[in-house]
Amino acid sequence: MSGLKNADYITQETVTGVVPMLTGERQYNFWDLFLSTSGFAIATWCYTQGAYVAEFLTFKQMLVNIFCFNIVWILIECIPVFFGVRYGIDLWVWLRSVLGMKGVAIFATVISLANFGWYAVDAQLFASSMINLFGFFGIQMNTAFWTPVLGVLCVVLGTLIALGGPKVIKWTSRVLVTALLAVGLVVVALCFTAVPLSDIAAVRPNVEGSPLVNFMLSAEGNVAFAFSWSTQAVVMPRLCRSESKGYWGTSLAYGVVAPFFVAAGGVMALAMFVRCGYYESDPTTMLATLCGPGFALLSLLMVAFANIGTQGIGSYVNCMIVKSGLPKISYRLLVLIAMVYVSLLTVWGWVMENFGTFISLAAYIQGPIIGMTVVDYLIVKKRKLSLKSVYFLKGHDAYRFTNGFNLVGLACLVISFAACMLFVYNPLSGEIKSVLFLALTGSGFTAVCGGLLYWLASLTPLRGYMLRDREDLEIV
Amino acid sequence: MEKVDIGKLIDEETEKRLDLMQSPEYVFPKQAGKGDAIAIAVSIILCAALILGCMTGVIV
Repeated sequence: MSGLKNADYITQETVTGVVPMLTGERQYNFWDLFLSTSGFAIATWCYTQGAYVAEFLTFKQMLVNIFCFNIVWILIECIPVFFGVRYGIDLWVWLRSVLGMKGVAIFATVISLANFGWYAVDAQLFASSMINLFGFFGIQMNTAFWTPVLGVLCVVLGTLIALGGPKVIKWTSRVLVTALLAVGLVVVALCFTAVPLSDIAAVRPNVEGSPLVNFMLSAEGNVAFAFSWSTQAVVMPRLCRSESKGYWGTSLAYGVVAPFFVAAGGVMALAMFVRCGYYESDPTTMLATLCGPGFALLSLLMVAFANIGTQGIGSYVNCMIVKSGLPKISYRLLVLIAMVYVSLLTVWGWVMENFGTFISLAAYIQGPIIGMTVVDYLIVKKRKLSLKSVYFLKGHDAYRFTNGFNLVGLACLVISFAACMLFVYNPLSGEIKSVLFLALTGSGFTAVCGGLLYWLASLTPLRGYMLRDREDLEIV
Repeated sequence: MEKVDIGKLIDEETEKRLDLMQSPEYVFPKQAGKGDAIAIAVSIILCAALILGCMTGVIV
């Protein structure tokens, strides 16, 4: 390999790998990060989530549930963005000090495999909406044949964006997301024009169970939705030039823009209920019914471009996560493997059929990691990390732990997951097992429990095991 | 053609960059300030209050 090729490779490993990014190399300002992250967050699943919540709550409660739970948890889980920007690293590099190198390799891979389930859902929603759209214009498509074909097409187009890396993502997002935000506002305005706001606000949920239980069951969906970004949220901020811009660019996209589209889905579902007497989650059908077939074309932008953009950015982010645990695998190879994996999931269809269970189970793994990361950053390590140990440079062994596993971090994760499944809320059966669920939700409990256990462990003699790095803080 | 160990290349580049970050001349990205902390705290408190309003039946 020539010197020039080596330099190219190093540049590539900085932008699409785990090598720390220096201040002078950052490509993103606030708007670039905000738009790219928003482009990632906006997809058809937002409408699905909104339509689901709309059935259980009144209009006002729906808005509070969607926006407030998302904002609270996103603001908390994005706190590690500060160190991501400062050191030019992503969350998973820091997590080597919480879970150990092998712990990160395993969980980064497991969580990315789970995260890619979202992109299979994204591709299937893309396919079904496109088939509906063609249907409104008189072109009937064979669902059994076209659903997998269009789904895989969405994955392949997203892969092309991912292969282009952050520069392509930045320019795609500047055009696409601005258009998407405008369309989102137009769609909400159209809904309120088609059905008066007073009629939408007057809809009362027709479901069994106490209002508090329904409110918290809806909250479980929104907290899990917020958590789903957590392990992916501290990947792109390392491209940003200041801590504040990195934090707000990320948290406003996940905490406000994504919930805005969830709320748009809820408003459309309520408007559909007022007009037709049933709830609907497909944006193409909703727009065509509420505003006429011509307006369904708007969903071409909302569904086609949004979902392809999400595939592309999601592939970049999740391949970066896997690289944190397995740094020597080429980024391009990972993106191509991801394309095949998501295509298979899309054709299989299991994740789509078990969407609610899937997002809650994924959130139960992500929750303890959120809790531990925030506690570790703010309280245990007090915002100081041994960068040389986290990259295992010669003579810096603070984070080698026990054969590459931090047993304390892993124990906190496993205990939180099991405690929630057994004693708080089981998403597989939908059974509420404790009043704690009515205060925190199941996913929220895993985050609180993981953080609390990790902090308590740091007060015991285990502190020496967890904090071997205090004599090795050379870069702060 | 000489075969290059990719892992070694990444390690060497990482070490070089960490040395740069350790030097007193290295300028880290601008740090977050008190305003950020206040904005985060106020937003969380406001949202928590609205959630509590729904949970207690004040907001219906």
